[in-house]
Amino acid sequence: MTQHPDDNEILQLFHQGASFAERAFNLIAKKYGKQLYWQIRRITKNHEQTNDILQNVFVKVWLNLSGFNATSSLYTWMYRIARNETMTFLEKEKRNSSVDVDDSVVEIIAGHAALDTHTADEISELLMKAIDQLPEKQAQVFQLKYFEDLKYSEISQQLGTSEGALKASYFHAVQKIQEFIINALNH
Amino acid sequence: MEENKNIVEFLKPREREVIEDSYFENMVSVIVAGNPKKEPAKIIPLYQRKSFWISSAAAVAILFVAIRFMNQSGSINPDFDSLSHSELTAYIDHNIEDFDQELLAQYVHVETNAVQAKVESDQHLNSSVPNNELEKSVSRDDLFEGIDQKDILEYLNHQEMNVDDLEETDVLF
Repeated sequence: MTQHPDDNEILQLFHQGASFAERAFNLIAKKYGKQLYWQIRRITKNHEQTNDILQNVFVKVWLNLSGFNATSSLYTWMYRIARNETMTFLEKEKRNSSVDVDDSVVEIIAGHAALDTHTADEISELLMKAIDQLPEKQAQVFQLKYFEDLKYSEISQQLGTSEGALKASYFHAVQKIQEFIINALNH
Repeated sequence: MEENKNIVEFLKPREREVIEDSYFENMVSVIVAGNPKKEPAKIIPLYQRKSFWISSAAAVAILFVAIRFMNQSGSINPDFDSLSHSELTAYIDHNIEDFDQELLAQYVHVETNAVQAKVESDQHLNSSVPNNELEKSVSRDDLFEGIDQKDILEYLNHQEMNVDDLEETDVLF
């Protein structure tokens, strides 16, 4: 896995201004771009929309990074921007036109009776709704662990949270997701 | 068995396409080129805006003038009977100073002319002095009864007002 500079180093570089700021912005995009891209894409299920939304996210990050006050981690700050931008974008799109969705986010492994009668798209839809119901921290941890396959040590560094707390968050997130999906399938 | 396993364990994240680093680099380049770095927008509270105070002051001034106008227009025919003599005198003393000076000057001017005309009329039976001018000078005697013309002239000089500067139209009522 590529080694990325620490967030504090990136921010220090950014505050030096001019070309340093641009370089810092590039480092941020390389470090978190993919995670943000897939965070958005899992909701839109469409590259074109994801591309538009991600561009909006990065514009906001670029324009507002100088005012970032580090009360949360850099990733959490961008995660929130991405989430808000996605919701705003989809709200507008809902009024305009429907777009083709290209794929589901999960595949079903045979062996669970409740899942066997449903398609991957249906379960994907439920999974994303379940994630959307989670508290922010649990949603972040679940996505970084489950979809991005990061180690707890990496997530800990990214979110500024202890590994023990992350494991607890992930456990609770999985429990809530199961409960949500089972309830949805039984109704 | 499946009951012992969480449902999430039966779901596997789908393989996804690879997003190249160049994709993000290009996006960053476009943003930096097209959206130069700006200072974050500053939120200025309403009370710190100059325009707020100017418009507030203007609104208060307009309101004040409007209220005064409404009060004045509501009393077009003031009830003078309700005012005491001392109130009226005080008002006139306070507001009519300029007119008062002019009146005094006219009085002195007319009085002088009238006296001269009377002398001439005594000398000539067919006097050319208009009767109404004489009447005016007599009627003004009532107004300035007991006031010496010297005192009036002295007062007017003190006020830097020259009787000779008055135009004919000012002299004749």
